[in-house]
Amino acid sequence: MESRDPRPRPGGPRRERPDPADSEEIRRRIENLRLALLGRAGDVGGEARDAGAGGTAEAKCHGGDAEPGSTGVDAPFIIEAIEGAREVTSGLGRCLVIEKRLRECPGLDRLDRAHRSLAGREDVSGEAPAEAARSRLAFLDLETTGLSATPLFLAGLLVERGGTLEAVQLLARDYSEERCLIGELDRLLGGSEVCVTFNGKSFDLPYLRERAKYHRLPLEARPEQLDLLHHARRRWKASLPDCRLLTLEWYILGRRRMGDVGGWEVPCIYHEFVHTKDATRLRDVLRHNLLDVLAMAELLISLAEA
Amino acid sequence: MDSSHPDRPDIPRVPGKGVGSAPGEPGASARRITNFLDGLVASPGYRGQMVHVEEIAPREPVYLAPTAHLSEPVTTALASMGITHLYSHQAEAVDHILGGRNVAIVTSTASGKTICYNIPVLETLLRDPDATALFLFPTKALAQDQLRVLGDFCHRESAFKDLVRAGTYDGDTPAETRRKLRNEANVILTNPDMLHQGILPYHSRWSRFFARLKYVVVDEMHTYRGIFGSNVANVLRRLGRVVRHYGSDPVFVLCSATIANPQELAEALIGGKCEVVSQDGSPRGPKLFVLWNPALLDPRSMERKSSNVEAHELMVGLVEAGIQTITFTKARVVAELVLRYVRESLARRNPHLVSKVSAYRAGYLPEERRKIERALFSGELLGVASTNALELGIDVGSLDASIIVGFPGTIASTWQQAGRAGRKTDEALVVFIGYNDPIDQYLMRHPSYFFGQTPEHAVIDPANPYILAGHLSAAAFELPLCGEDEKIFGALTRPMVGILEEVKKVKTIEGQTYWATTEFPAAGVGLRTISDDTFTIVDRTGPEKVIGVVDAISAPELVYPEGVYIHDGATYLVRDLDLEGKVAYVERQEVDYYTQPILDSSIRAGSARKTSTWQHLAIAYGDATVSWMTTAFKKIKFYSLDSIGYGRLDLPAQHLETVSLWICPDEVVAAHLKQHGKNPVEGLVGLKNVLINILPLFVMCDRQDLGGIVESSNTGRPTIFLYDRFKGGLGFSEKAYSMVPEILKGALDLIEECPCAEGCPSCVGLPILRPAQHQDPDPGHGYPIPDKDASKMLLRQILGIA
Repeated sequence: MESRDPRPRPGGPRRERPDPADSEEIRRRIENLRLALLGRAGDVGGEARDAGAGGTAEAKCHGGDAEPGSTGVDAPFIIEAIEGAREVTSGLGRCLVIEKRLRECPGLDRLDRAHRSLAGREDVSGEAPAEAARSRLAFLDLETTGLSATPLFLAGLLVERGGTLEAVQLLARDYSEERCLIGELDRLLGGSEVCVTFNGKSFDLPYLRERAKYHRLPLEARPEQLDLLHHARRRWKASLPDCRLLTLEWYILGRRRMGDVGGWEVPCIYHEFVHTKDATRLRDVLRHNLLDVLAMAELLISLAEA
Repeated sequence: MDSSHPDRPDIPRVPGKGVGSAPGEPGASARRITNFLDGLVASPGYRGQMVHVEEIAPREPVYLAPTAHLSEPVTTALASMGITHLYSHQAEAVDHILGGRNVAIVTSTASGKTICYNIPVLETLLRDPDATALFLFPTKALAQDQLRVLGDFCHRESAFKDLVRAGTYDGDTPAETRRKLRNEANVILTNPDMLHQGILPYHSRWSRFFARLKYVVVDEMHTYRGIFGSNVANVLRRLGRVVRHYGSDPVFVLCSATIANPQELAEALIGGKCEVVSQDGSPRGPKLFVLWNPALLDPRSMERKSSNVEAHELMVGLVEAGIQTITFTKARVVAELVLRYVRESLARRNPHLVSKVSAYRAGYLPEERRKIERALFSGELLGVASTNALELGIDVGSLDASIIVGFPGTIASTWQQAGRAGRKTDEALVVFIGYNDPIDQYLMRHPSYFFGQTPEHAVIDPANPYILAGHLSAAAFELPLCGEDEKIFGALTRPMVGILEEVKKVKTIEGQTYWATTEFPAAGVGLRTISDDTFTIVDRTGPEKVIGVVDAISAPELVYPEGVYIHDGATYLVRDLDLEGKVAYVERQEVDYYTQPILDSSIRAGSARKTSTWQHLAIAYGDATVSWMTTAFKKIKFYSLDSIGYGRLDLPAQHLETVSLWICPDEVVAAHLKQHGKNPVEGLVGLKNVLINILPLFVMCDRQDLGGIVESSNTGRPTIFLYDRFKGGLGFSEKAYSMVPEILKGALDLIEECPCAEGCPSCVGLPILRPAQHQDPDPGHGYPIPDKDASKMLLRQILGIA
């Protein structure tokens, strides 16, 4: 009869959703996922690949040279053993600080004069500027795990302490230490009047601001900014092949680095360090970072005095 | 319908929207539809094609004042749009939203759903100009359309002028605009794909926006089902945790077409409680729903007149009567055919109307589609022949008539398409024209089935491990995972994190799990199953010009060499299909035929990962490759549908490497059926159709996510294959493998409970999803509905029931 509802009851064959907390269910799903992650279907009758080769990031990082976890030397290098390293604790957690007085570096007066000349500030009286009127400079270079939206792990600075420049490197030994790093960095920058960077306007400073927002940390420091890249371009763009820091180091400062890590390797090295706690390669990154920041200081002089 | 037509009242049609806007004597225009149908019945060509007319009663508007007080700028703007009172569902929705409760609004198309969320957003902005809102749409085109609608609303009141800063943020947005929007906008319109890959991973750039987020609007909720829906549900969970990180707790507003389980879907999508507003308070004029069966050409052969031709005749009559009509077709080529036929007829009878009709489908360039949408809205276009591309809510206004050519596959789609016709007080018409295939003919014979059937259930499974894995990775990238996340993503979170740790993608430090590689996890997760790959179609007749696009999977079925490609009603010959360059070259040529691809599809079972036997069945689960290719094509004359030849093709096959369940009954079962005069293969086909129908409820997927074949080349005996329509599989057929006895019992229940006599679309008869996608259903005759008794007997034998 047409008027009778011809539909089968939708409730008929329906069953209760399986409770995902049911351990049998979990075990089965995990097993499936394990197989999927380790040996995706798509190869017909594919076999599960060796779980050890799983981390593709590692494979990329090692490039086949070193095995994961092994460094080719006897013992893993512990980062805390670096000279000048000490742990810092604050309300934001922990991180590592590595401090080093520099034996050779441009004098503060010279740096200050160079900065003034670049910043377009003139000393009206013509006399040597008084101590108190001198701007305190901080040179800054960041190392990050990517181009954006990923953690920054190392802040390398040159700051004025006790009449000379001191190198201070703030290191997040793992991803949980980034908060403290940012807090310490902000404190240090707050103690300086000028922050000197190389391409910081486009990269380092926005990066720092973004990571601060990510961690919901206010940034108190508001130093004046001096980006050497812009000045370098104006001065040397026409005469040099490019204005990358390494190029300027070679042509202007007459120095070439031996055995330095490449910028593209840095993120992988860091991730590996976090996993293995072996800082052998990370030490190279620290050195690279220090060299960058030193080069910046010398460049400032060259820009002003050349 | 022949050339001699009854006189029609010559009402000059001035299109317009709104209540009572059609000019002319009110009485005449209100009865336009009835007059038209009367005219049809009285015409000499009428031979009882109208097998059923369902009168859907008009609905009086139900007005309600919201409890919340609406501000002056909002009421003024509404009044300028002709709205002095809100409908009941709008008032209810507004109250829920302003009261801080998540709500799903499930009412028909053109019931004014957009106002339900625009009002609360604007009210909130007036009180708190720093507040923000996020609107999500399934397509970029919809987002752009809704931006226009919002802009139009704001234009009406100076208070909104500088207050509302809205913009679309998607793949097409230029970099500079993106920065501006992130920093300044308070209303962002985007789509789930952009949210997933372009916004959430970079959430710190959105800290201002997210810190003040008050509303998240999810439009066209019913499209988020199956695999797509499961993915989007996870994206929304990730959004939730990012937004909470910045201190917000927005209200979710979801808008949906009618489905059987809106509350369940809404709550599964957002992972939280949700109110439902489903009593539609908007008015509706009387609607006549006609089931139209083309006449038999010859009672002996059961051949009927071409449905496409009938559709065009009806459309011509309606357009000539000034009745704005949309014709929905099942395939792009049919939309073109109908348009072509309509234009040819109009050229003879009323040439000034030729430019008033158009086609609309995927493959038209975006500017073309925008033009057509606007012309429909303004009333410039009187008729459009479309695929289901116009089913989705792009505001084209309300039309007077909707012709549906062939059952679109689901009841939900049918009502969506029917819903495009219907004005506030005037009559509206829906004509469903059946093809001469078993499904459509069944519907013609059983109107009560058609009108009584509830829309389908929408099913999602956000906890599907294959889907969840990618999103957990993305979530870890966004913010470290912690114990709280188990509540959000489910019980599988912890074990899955364990696996990710094993493969060193994440590292857990003091209870927080951080992403630990240089990989960008969101890039490896696609939300949809269709490919983004497109071919361009280039017209080489003059200087080369791109006239259309087609997706890579459909290209070999639509633009094969020597095939006829129809665009905007004009015919082109395909000269060359460059598979590598992804271009099809065509040349304009007037021909009097069109072509149809002949597809060959097959399944090749790989090694079985699991096997077992049960009762009389050999059951297995393992890898399988489903292949299909266009082997040849037919040339078919316009109108007469005479086949005038074939063409050979040499195109490579397309493959889907996936997983499948297979079920193979033994000889005993087959012999038993044969003994009783039943065909065992027919029984298996019927069973396969039932299984595809009910599996979604057991394995938590959508019907579209599964495919099924009955064939014997793999095992040597007739076997049912049920596979996941997704590369590599998503666990559906795998789950089914572990539940075969239960599922078969469920299948028997369904068949036995179904009151049909011999089989119907609800039990053993269902159209196969491939290869019908691009076929013109007219020349083929569909697939027979299998004998229900054969399937019943088969199941009883297997289950050991007497």
